[in-house]
Amino acid sequence: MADVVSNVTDRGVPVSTPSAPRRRPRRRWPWAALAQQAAAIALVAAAFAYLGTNITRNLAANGMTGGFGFLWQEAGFAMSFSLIEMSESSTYGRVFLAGVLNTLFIAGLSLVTATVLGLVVGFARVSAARPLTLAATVYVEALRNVPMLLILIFVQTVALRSLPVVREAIAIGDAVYLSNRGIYFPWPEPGQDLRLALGALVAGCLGLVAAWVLRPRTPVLVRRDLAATIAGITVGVILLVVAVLNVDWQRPVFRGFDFRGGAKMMPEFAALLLALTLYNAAFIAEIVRAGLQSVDHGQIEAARALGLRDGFIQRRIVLPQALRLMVPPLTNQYVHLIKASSLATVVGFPDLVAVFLGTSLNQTGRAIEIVVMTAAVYLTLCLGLGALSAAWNTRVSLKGR
Amino acid sequence: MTLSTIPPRLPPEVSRTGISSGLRGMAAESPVSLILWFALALGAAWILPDLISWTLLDATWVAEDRSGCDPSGACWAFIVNRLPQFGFGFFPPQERWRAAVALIWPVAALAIALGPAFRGRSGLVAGALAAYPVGATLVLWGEPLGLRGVGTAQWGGMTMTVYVGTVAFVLAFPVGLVLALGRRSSLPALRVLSTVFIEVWRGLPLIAVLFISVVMVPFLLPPGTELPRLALALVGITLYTSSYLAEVFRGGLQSLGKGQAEAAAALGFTYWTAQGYILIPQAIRAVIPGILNTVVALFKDTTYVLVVGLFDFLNIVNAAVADPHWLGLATEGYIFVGIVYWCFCFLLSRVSARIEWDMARGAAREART
Repeated sequence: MADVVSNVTDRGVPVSTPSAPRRRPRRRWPWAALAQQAAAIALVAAAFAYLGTNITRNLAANGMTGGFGFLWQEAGFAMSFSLIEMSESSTYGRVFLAGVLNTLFIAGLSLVTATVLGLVVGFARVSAARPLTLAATVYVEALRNVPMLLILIFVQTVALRSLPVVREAIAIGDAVYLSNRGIYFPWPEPGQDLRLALGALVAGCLGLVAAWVLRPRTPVLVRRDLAATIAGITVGVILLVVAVLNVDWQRPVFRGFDFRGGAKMMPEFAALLLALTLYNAAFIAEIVRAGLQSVDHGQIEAARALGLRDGFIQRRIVLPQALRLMVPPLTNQYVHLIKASSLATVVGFPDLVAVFLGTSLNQTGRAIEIVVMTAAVYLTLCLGLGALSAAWNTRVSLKGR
Repeated sequence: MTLSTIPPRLPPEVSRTGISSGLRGMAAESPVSLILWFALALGAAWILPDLISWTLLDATWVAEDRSGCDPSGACWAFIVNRLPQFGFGFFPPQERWRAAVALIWPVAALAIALGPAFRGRSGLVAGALAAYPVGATLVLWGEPLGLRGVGTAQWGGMTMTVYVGTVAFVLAFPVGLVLALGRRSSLPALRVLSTVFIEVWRGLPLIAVLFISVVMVPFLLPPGTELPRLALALVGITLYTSSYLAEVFRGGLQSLGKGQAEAAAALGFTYWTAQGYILIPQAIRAVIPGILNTVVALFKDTTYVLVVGLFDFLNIVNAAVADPHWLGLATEGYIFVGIVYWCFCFLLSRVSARIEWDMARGAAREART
């Protein structure tokens, strides 16, 4: 009987392969296996030795030296955008750091925007409203089947260049201005004390997180949980408003030939952000759709038969099961996005590949050192993300049976 | 199995309310849905007339230069004038048939593979593809065949895109297979070597791979060796693709289950005969959709070669829109590129989805009988 029940509830839900702890009997390898492995290692070592001698001979022929000493040398070029203080007298080490931060910045930002847009489009694709489904399908199919580089170049050369010149910039509520030289938006006045505002910002976010943690989890609302949640949200929102109001915002104002005050988003950055978001959102939408559709309809019917509300079914029954299937492909897509952010080179945004693997390598000629450092950054990011996803996956996958 | 009395499971009734309960009740007839339809129709009515008159009605198809184009419509004459260049790059006009051969070769192989079946089809397609890297290089280069020599600097356009994509795929296929076998090997040394190789190449952006191969490969060769940029870029793209293909093949090998290998061993097959006759053929068959998806991704990724200065299909249009005779026609150029890529990728992704669907249906039938 128990078997039958478990079969029924299991139906349609892909069960990950049970990984029963299995002790492999210790056995000695036959000599053939040892010989094969030794041969493979010897082959690889020989290849490395051959390539290594070629490298040393080539370096000697070109009169080049190795070593990481160049990291303390002056780089002599300026970067059009950096999150840390940079000047022409900054060292290559600092250029590397600024490049890593720029890559993390553009990748992190577009990761968030692409996920939000992808979720919206993905939900639209499975919604019962057919006009939404149609629009979402057109969006996904149109963008998924063209190279991302084409989207990037199109956005940069056609969409952003067709914006008006600075003098006739499009104004959005007297605060944000769109022009072909960049996007201007308000920014905190420099030189003011931001400690109170930052404190309120952090506290407000903590309040919202607390509200999320304490949210009602049962179909029957417990008054105490609800009160805690409402209190958390209220305090959080009030603190966030305080944080925003506490800052003296400086609006961009047109004077002379350009806008003064506020901050400006470079067109290269805007193009990259837009292209990364639009392209990856199409793939994320497909992942979301596949995840939602993979949840067996019987689950929804059973939940309805138990008298649960639809919102509750969606949040507590469909989404958790869908999420379990969505996370591995989603991580994959995030890795793709991080790697695609290196297209910054093409539009002229100074990311790690552009300033380090490009400019710095050209100037110093330290090919091996620079390649190893750049590769280490991307491998850490991509493999790290993969490891996180794998750890999460083992935690949530269905156990045993 | 045959004695089962449980009736087959019927497909679930299609739900009108759908899975997204946030939009519950928005069935086709609901007022919200009607409003959305109305908004969609309004948007279409607003955009479509302008779009149609720009792309078709007011468009100019034949002109000598920019001034001959009607400024109120699209200037497709630009595309028409440059079509040979977009297709064959800077190949000398009287030698363009060679570029056409290199361009049509893989397309024809694909068409045969997707068309009606006949005896020996898979052998023909595999042979044509396997011969492509050497064959197409000889035809394009020409010197060893006694034709007029054409250097790689003159290759370009769609020919370059198809050449890079096909050569990288054909060379990456065996490498990927070996890496997949290595990663599943029972010998730890092979497993570690293959895994490290695959993960390193998969973890790097293709742009970085291209930079690295153009900068580093000359250092790795014996002093004095000079290779064209195209060859250096091909090394990088091939290694990158092989690690992706290796993961696809690994998925196929894993899907077979232990029984196949154990049965083969019981019948006296050695490791290599079992792999060659039993496991690899089944594994490849199982992952044909995955292979096609990799091909689509590779085809889109070949555009990245512009960072090392090669004139593929996208980059040659890039160069053409900067021509002073046809200035300001970037929109037309990129729309054309987009349509070409879209058609190819959409077709292949449909084929892949179709094969996947057929296989799922076949599996369901086998499970029933």
